Amino acid sequence: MFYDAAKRDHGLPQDPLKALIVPRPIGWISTIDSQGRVNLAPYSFYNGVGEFPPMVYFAITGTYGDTPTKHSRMNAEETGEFVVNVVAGTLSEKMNVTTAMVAYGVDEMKLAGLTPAPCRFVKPPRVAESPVALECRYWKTVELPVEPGHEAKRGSVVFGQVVGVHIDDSILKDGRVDALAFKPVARLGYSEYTTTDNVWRMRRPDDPRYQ
Amino acid sequence: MFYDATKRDHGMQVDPFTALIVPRPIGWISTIDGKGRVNLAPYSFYNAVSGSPPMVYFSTTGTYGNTPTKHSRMNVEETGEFVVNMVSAELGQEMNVTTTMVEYGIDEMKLAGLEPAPCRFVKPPRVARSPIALECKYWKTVEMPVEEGREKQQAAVVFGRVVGVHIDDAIIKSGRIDTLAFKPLARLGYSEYTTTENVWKMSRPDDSRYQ
Repeated sequence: MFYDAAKRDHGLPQDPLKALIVPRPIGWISTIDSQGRVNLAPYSFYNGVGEFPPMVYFAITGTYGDTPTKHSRMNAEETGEFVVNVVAGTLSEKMNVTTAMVAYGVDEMKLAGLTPAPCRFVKPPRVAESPVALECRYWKTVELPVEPGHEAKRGSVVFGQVVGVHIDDSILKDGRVDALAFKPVARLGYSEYTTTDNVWRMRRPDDPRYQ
Repeated sequence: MFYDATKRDHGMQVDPFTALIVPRPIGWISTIDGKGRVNLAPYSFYNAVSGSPPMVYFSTTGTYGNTPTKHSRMNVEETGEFVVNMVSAELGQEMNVTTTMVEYGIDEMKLAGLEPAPCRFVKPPRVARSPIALECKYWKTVEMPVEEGREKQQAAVVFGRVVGVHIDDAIIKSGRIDTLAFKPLARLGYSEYTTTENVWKMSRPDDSRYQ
């Protein structure tokens, strides 16, 4: 089947878009506001964007409850810092608690019963239970185009540079990060998730080790 | 362990950065150049950035062989169009063939033995065997910061708006996309991949269906 994405004439009960870009990694973003209050929220419009320097983005959609933008973006812009925590397979229920719509200033890390751990280069705490945390400095926000009739859902892309990296020693094997040691959770469409449960190798044909 | 991402003092043989943002979806990007010659290449710095309007990005790193930037970016900027094809489990080998470093103008779709299929709103062909193809119109490129001494590896984020969507009817079940019907591949660190082999549901705590 084919549909016009502007008209959304797919005839399906739910818009399938998010189910078409899968699996999406989850950036579990911790920030603080100017009063030092912690915020923690997961974003699946998240990924790396550069390696030299290491950069990541997360994208937010429109307003959120009582504030003009989502709390993570507000805090990242106000304080210039954010931390990306990795959602290991064992943390999915706690991650889900942090998706709850709560008032600005409510600490979702506490709400989910998670332990804050200090960062080295930035002020927001990281999630102690996360096997990986990326300390980031805010770089800039790019506002995306507005779709007529959907002004309140306008998206924006928040970019940050990774300045410090925490890796739990237990997920390192022979000098490499072992994905199966923490089984990262990823987002699919609808209310669906997947857990990384298999790893295999494939070298590029122009890699001298290719066979 | 902790390392300074600027100094990269992690003490590991291979930089772990891409193994920390996982699993990453793969955008298999088809474009044409000004002469109509097809290009096809996979990018794992790829994801959605907005639902309204539907928008995606892919990020390229620096120069590539004999051209000033990677071919996909050159073509997108020249023609204003690109297509994102889904790499299902059965297309892994073909996708890998298209990572080969080849001269500008060489058709990797042909190289991998893939059949092109026409798009509706854009000129580049899609991969006929891909269960999903997103026809995109180029929006803009955002150049990432430069790391000192790594000027040739400066990254750039290419944004596009999804205008047309192809979905193979075989992967639609009860009005929803069935991820396990095509098992998307995703990228991990090093030369590692994962196949999406499990799907589970979790509703947000503020969703009325949550329990």
